[in-house]
Amino acid sequence: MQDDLEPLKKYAGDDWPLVEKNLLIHTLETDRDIILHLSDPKNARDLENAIRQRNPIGVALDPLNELGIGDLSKDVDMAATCREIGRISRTGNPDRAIIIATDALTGVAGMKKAFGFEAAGFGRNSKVLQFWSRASINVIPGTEDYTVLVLTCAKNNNGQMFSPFAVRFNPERLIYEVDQNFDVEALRREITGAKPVRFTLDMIRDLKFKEMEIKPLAKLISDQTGCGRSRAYELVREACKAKIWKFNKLTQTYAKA
Amino acid sequence: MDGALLDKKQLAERLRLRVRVNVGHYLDIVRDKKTRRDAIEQAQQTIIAARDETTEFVDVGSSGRNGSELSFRSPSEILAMPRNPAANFLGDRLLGVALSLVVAGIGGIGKSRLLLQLLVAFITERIWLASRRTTPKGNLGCWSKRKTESRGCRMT
Repeated sequence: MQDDLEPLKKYAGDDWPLVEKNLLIHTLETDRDIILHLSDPKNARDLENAIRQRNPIGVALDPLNELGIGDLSKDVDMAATCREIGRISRTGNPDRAIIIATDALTGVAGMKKAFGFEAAGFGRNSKVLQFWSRASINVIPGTEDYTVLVLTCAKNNNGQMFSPFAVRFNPERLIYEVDQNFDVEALRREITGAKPVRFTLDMIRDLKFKEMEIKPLAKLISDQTGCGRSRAYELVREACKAKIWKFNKLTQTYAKA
Repeated sequence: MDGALLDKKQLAERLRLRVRVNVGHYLDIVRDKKTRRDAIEQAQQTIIAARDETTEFVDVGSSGRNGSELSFRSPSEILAMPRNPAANFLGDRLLGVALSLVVAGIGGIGKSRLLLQLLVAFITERIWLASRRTTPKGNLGCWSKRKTESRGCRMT
């Protein structure tokens, strides 16, 4: 926990006193702290009292299986768990926000479910949790060492679902940051076995733009064609080679030839 | 007319107008006081019931919002409900007032770290997962009330 909080303290900088004042973490120090299954009325009561006493605006529960009632693979037990979590978390304030971290299906078969129509079924155990929640974010590894994670939106009942994006662990700052260069679509194709789309020069031949630097141009190509950012950079180079576009060394910009 | 003395008729007319304009406001106060009196009475009954170990304790925590067991509102009531501009905490209402968000991922992938980063970003009004200068793809941002008003976001 210290390893997690130390970099966040640097990240928060001058605002750290705000975090200090507004974040309270339940730590696992004694046997009493470890077993918190809500099937035990005493656990439920203690948690409820703690929440009522501090009156936070939100409660995050991580991980769900440490709190679950019975067998979380069974709908009836998951429903009881969700009901109890809702009751306890919103005790004294029905407007309290709730975040639940839960385990997901493992392996490539599980990762496949993080995208598209099956995204709501990515979480492990009973799907009652996904129905009960208002929104759900799936996290899958982008690389085998987990330095890159891909976040997909499984559902968002109250707003628009976001497009999948990647975050990379910054080893210097020890926090996650958005990685715009990671090709999420390529990963999706790789794990779902979808036929790769070939992004060719023909797809950008009629692209309308004035003089542009490479970065916004690559973004434009990526947005227009749906290709990854790295392929967009390649296409810019290919277009110059094919004399469709020209590069101005002085201004470091690209324009139509 | 300002600064000039009003005759009795004008004064009466002005007072009548003032009362008529404010009658809704006064009624709201009366209603609010009544709701509070009822809540106090209910709470006192709950305290008595909770203290009496021979009777079965009724849990009031799971009752509806409008005093009954379940929450019911008419369409006009729903439309008249005030909108809270600070009700959204993350992205396009992924998380907010009375909302629930699930973060799913395999064990050890980094969910807890992401979650902790989310909470710190939320409290300090930073954009979650964004480096200092860029806006994250997918427009995932974190918003909260003004820092001075933040009451907190806790992790259990």
